[in-house]
Amino acid sequence: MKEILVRPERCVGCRSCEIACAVEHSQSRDLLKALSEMPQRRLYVEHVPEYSLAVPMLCRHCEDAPCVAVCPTGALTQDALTGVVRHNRDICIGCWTCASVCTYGVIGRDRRARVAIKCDRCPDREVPACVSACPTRALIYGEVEEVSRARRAAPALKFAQGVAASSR
Amino acid sequence: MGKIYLDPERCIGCRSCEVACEREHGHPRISVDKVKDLAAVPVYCHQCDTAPCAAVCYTGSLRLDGDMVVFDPDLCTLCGLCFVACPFGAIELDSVIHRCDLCGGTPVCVMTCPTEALQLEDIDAITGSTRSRAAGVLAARVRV
Amino acid sequence: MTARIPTVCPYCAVGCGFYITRNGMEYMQDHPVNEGALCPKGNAALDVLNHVDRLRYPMMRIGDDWIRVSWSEALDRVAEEMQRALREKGPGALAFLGSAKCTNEENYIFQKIARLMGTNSIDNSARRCHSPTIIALRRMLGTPAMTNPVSDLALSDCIFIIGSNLAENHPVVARWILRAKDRGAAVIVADPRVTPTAWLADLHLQLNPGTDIALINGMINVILNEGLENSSFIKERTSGFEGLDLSDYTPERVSSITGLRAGDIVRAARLYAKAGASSIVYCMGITQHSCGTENVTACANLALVCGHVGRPGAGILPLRGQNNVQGACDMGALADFYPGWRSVDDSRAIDELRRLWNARALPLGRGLTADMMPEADLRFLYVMGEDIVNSHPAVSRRRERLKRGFMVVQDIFMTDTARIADLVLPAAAWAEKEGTFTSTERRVQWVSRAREAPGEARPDLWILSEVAARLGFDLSPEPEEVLAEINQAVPAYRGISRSNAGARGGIIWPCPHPDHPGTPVLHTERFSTPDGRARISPVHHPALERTSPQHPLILITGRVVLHYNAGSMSMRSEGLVKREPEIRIDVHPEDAARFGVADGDAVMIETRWGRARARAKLTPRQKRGTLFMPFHFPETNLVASEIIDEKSMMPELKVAACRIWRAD
Repeated sequence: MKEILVRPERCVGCRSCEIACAVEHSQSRDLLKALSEMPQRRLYVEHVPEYSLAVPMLCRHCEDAPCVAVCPTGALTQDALTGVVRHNRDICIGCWTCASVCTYGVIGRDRRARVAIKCDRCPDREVPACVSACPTRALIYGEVEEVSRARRAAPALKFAQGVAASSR
Repeated sequence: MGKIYLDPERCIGCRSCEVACEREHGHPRISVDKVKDLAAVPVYCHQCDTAPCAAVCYTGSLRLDGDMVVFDPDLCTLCGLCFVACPFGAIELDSVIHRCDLCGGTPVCVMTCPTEALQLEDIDAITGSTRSRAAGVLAARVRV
Repeated sequence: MTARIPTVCPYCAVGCGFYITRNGMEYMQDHPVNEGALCPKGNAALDVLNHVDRLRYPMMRIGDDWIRVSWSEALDRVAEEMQRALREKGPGALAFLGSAKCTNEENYIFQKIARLMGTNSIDNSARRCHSPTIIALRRMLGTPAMTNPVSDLALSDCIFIIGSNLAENHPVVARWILRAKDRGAAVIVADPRVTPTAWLADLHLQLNPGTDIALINGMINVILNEGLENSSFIKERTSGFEGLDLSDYTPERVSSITGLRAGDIVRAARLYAKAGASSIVYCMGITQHSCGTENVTACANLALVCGHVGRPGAGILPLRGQNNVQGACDMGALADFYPGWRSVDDSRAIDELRRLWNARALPLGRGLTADMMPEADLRFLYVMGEDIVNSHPAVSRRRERLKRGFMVVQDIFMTDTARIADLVLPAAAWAEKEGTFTSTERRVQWVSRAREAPGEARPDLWILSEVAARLGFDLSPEPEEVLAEINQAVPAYRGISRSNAGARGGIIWPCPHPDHPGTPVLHTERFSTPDGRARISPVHHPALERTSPQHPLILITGRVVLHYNAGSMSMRSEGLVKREPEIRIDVHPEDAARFGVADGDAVMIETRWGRARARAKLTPRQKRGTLFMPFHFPETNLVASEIIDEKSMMPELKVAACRIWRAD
């Protein structure tokens, strides 16, 4: 199962992801025209001043998704295969139960349509727009297993080097 | 004006909101459901942004006004469509319709809630503070 | 009258403020304890005032009938009967029951009358709420009261709640615990049941009923073994630490007694000891045991060993039950204490009062406590605002013996106690009179008159002063004048006046002079014991009633959120009664299957004390092997235990072996 993973230590807070997201979800899919469409946010770069860090916050498509569990109309559903939490705007009534239980606060409010708005993980794209746009690779898109395997490599190498050095 | 939001982890199931609402309106418009005695959830009108109750109301007795659903009892025919349409069961029907009017802006259920489980807030403020708290937790992990 | 009058909730001891308006109530958002919030009982408080059942006229019993009498006739009769009993049988034949629902002024005058009549047989409902706290904390810390205010909990880094279902019984306290959690505090709840309080816990210790001492001693054992104690605090501020040998209480042994995992006991000990500021909150799950005094001692030992006393956010918080139970005790409406916590055995301290009262002599030695009254040869019993028949199992079973002579009951409703009296006097309710109430956190608040009393009902203070006048004592009916006398009789109240107690949120005692701001946190520099040090004293796990083949289950009693104590108030509130209409026994589904009981069945329950009937409610919140009955309903008194804690005279109300079967 592929996920969008965040590496806040690499984020420089440039908001390229936010812009790419807005363009991708605009009618025109054009940067300049998209801005005039007053796009609604699905991704939020949060600044955390006490740690001088920026953290891109977007839907985690949780496996045990609270928003799906509480939705009274069935507007939020989870794809059994991909785990993507989908939002059906036609059934949504804008009661905001989902928004009030979301642990990450990433379900927004589409003020024109008066319904919820959230990350749909760019169904028309191979790689989500935010990930493609990130200049520092703070956002990556990959299999969770692969990513953690890659993470294990560095400490394993360090450990091996340490053992080798001390037994020499 | 804000709407009523629930932090279910704070609710202790004391039913103070129910008793206060009943005192204010004669008939409670909020009710607390205990789930297997291991959690409690107040169920109430969410003043939904698309308002299914107002959408089905053919007399215009219930209609969306800004962020809130308003009710004109004079136009109501007690047809019960709103009662059917509400996914929360927050509308009750006997000789009149019982539904939340946010007590004109200062809901007693929110004011009386001992644990601040019910809050009168703008949803963007709630999600915003949740988001910055979650971001803070993540940032703390990175910097330690 | 002005549009809205501030008042204090008449139910529990949290001391929440609200306004009474012409048509109803308004929330008081700037009150320091509740910030406008109220529990369901608080929301229903006004239902009591204009209730149709209110007593409106003095009534005299003639056989089985009641006839209305005039106030002067009633008051003459009270004085006459009191004097006759005194003349014929001496002061030992008189007894008085004060009320944790009446004001400080009323309780002060009431106990003064009792003592001027020559008896210490005066008691109040604190006997079966926090009498062990009074004995243990007075001896160990010097002051038998909460060390910190409720809102201080928000400053704690670890909150250890043991034997308290505060989410149901003091809901507003949960507000401050959640504020602490918002800051990252850890919450530990020790309770056999999965109560709504346990929902708030990071660590829920579902211990066997009555094993609190073992748990706490086990925690202290871990703390000492791991060197987590506060040595400088122990050295500088306590005595008796050398005698604290708890090496037997290893986590493994405690695990076998309490039924908890050893790892959880270690975890709780570390959380509590390592936090910067920890609080212990306890209530009747600690006190209502035949080892109640020892239970409180164990709690205080834990706090003292870790030095978690005397700082903001660090303290011992016994949550008290009634709106003025702290005050009634401060005023000496107790068989073992005069006003200002003067022991009945301390003749020098009592002599100060004798001079203040211009009395020739005052009685020494403990008088009759409430549960001893049915066994004593009483000729005159005066009950003020207390439904003793429904609140005390021992009295409930022997109610006919309570009334051997003349009995006066002064109340707002015809309670079951009033029903057996000879004379019933209608009293004004809290909002129909003036005076001060002292909440659980020692907060003294002045209550103003907001409504007219119904019929000929009169403030208790007026009634008492009229009775006193007929006995030849000149006692003022004015609350302010009585408060001025309390200033002299009770050192902690010396500077309390109508003006500082009447300000928003009142004032927290000790308040030594009129300009003093009050003392929210006790014991910051020294303890109020004679040498200024707290006393650590070892206590051990007692032998409690066990299950047997005949009685294989343990019965726990307690409260539910919608009702209050014996129910004379909450049972008259439609909004509360319809939500909790009848008695239920909580049964774990597995126990229910074992004993052939289904949800909603009428069941019989039997202990060695008696039998009762109730409706079964199957719920996973109940611990396997235990049952729970709320004591707001008279049925619970039929089965409750009568084993007594000799030090505090507290009955064992939390553990009774029992059995259950379907009533067909």
